Amino acid sequence: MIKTRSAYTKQIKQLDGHVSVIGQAVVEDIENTAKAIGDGNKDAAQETIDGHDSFERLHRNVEDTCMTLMLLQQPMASDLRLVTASFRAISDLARIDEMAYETALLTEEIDLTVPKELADLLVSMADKAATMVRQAVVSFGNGDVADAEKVFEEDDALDALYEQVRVKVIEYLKNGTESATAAPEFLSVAKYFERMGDHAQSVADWSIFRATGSYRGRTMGEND
Amino acid sequence: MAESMSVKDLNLYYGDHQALKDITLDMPAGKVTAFIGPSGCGKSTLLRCLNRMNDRIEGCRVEGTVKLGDTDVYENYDVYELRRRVGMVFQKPNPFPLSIYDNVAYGPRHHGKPSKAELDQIVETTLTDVGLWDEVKDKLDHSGLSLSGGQAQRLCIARALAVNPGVLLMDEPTSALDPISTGLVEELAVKVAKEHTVIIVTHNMQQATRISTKCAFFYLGELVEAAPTAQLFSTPKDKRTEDYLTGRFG
Repeated sequence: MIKTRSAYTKQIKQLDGHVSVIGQAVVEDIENTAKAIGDGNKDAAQETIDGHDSFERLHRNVEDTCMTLMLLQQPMASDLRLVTASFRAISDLARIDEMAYETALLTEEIDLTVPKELADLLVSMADKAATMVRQAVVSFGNGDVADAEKVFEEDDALDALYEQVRVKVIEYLKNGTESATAAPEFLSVAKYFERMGDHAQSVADWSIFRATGSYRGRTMGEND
Repeated sequence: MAESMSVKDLNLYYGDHQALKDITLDMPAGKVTAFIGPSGCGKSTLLRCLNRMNDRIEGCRVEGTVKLGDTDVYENYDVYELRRRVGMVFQKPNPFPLSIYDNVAYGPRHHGKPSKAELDQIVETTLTDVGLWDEVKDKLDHSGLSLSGGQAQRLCIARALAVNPGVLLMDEPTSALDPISTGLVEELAVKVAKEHTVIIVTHNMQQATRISTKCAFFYLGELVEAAPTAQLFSTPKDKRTEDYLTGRFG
């Protein structure tokens, strides 16, 4: 339990680092799902599954740190923005990681490497989602609002990929081919990646809030 | 009725020492404005300028304007009338060595000729407003000095409000009080601000965030920054404010 001001300053700096570590772990887990789907790399999927518990512990520890800082130190100004933005951003990152974990589990149960045209689309979605999360996390750390804004621009491409998957899945279901049996799972995974993009946007939004005190077009205190 | 106050290009000197430097600030009517900053930054000095409490300090010189509404309080303005319209509550509760009743009735008696019935009404209404009536209604003839710290501070607030000022100045009014009394005084400040503009000096930043709608940060006699409170405490514009709020000063 921290009490003195110097310990507080140290913990604030550590918090910044922890968000970055969590963000990197999430990006790696998304990339692992891409490897599992694209190359049938079971080891990659297993890595994400094995790391899930320790990720959860880290996520909870950072949440506890934020709560403790708010309770005992009542941070203000840029510290307040860091603590509140971290608290929200790691929640988004945890949701993304949960979806990567679920996807990894699915690849253990079902072969998502065929049909290849669907697998390729999912890999493209995973790559896009990983890029968005990476950009959002980097902008969270360096306060670069322009970088954070790029995350929002990327989301349309991810949505377009999801739409392509959806259309293909419907085709497979209509044709009733052998591949149709795994079609619902392909659509579920595509939906996971599409939602990862939404959460990445949310992280980018918290990056902007951390840097500027504004979020979703509104500045704290402007209604007072 | 709540009145606004403003200062423009205000400079204050104690002899050769300049304690306030070019202060320009609006304090809106019907709101709580908080002054924050490290010790010696000039926030209490500015507060005392607002009802000319510095006048009697030897060597004190004030330049610039201090306005109550549209009236410049340093230009041919009766200082007793000013202090009726701009009341003050101090850090340490300072009831007069009079009865509770007479503490509240003191101001109205000196600023008019109310009847006994009118005075009774003022005392009851004002003590009710500050949440003290139920606690003292059966001992109005007891000395104001017999009250606890929190009660005594609320009595002092009642004494200031009894003459219906447009502005109430509070100089660290809760620094000598326990958390419960502090909470009562904070509730009171927010409640009375609608009718009596409140301007408060506080070292307690959480107090400033809890009760004020506008906050001004002072440093070395300068007004560094003034903004809506939530904005100042979340997104200060000046690095000195940022450093002060995050405890990284110096």
